[in-house]
Amino acid sequence: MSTARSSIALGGPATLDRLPLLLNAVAEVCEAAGADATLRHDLRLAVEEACMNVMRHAYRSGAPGELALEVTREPWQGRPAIRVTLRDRGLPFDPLAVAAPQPAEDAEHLPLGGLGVHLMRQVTDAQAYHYDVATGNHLTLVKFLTRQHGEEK
Amino acid sequence: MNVTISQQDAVTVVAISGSVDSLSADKLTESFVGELNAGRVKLVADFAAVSYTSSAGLRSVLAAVKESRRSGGDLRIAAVQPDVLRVLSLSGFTSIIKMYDGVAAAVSSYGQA
Repeated sequence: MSTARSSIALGGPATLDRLPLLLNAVAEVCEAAGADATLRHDLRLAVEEACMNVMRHAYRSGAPGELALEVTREPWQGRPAIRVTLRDRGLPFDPLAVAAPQPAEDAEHLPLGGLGVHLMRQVTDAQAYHYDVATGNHLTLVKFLTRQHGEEK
Repeated sequence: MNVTISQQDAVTVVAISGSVDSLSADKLTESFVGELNAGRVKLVADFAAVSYTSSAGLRSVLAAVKESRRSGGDLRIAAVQPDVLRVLSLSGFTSIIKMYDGVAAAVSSYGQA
């Protein structure tokens, strides 16, 4: 019998050593929800990129601030889904407002800035962001558990 | 993630296994830099056992592609698995990096014009 949980909330400092813990929480909820391998892959990728953005850029040098993560199986727009919400109290930053990298014809001109955010958006089905003065940046990433006809992964 | 390096004639095969993520990408970069600094600039990255890469892994690969090409060589990728191929494609890598179905084809590609 599986002991995987369908909802996990974790708080703590925005430090790289916590990345495995955060990604394990995502994997555990995916397992409890019966998510397929591609969904697990995509959500892991999206959450790693989102976490790294906070860990690298949200806080000015000095003591790391907070990065809280909540992952839960919960319907989104009426469809079964896994939802991950990241919250940090760093500088206001809307990753969804970052322009997609422009295609390049050679390696020298391939832009790497914004690549992580681009991947995060491409491999999730829905994203939402808001900033609250009291609680900081809130980023929500959603992956549907079922595909609709004609819908790609 | 583990990296195993072997030599096939003039081509260096860098076989990677596991996940290339923000925690492990530096190790991959060190492997590439070690080969390039030793003058081994014809590289094949064997991705057959790579189950995952994030943008951290892509940065490592791209840096090696650029440096090897500047030195007259290249980094070519073999045996990419479907989920990883999707990430490479979404990132624009599939149009600028030479990719092959298997290591043998990637190695032999260096013998061609």
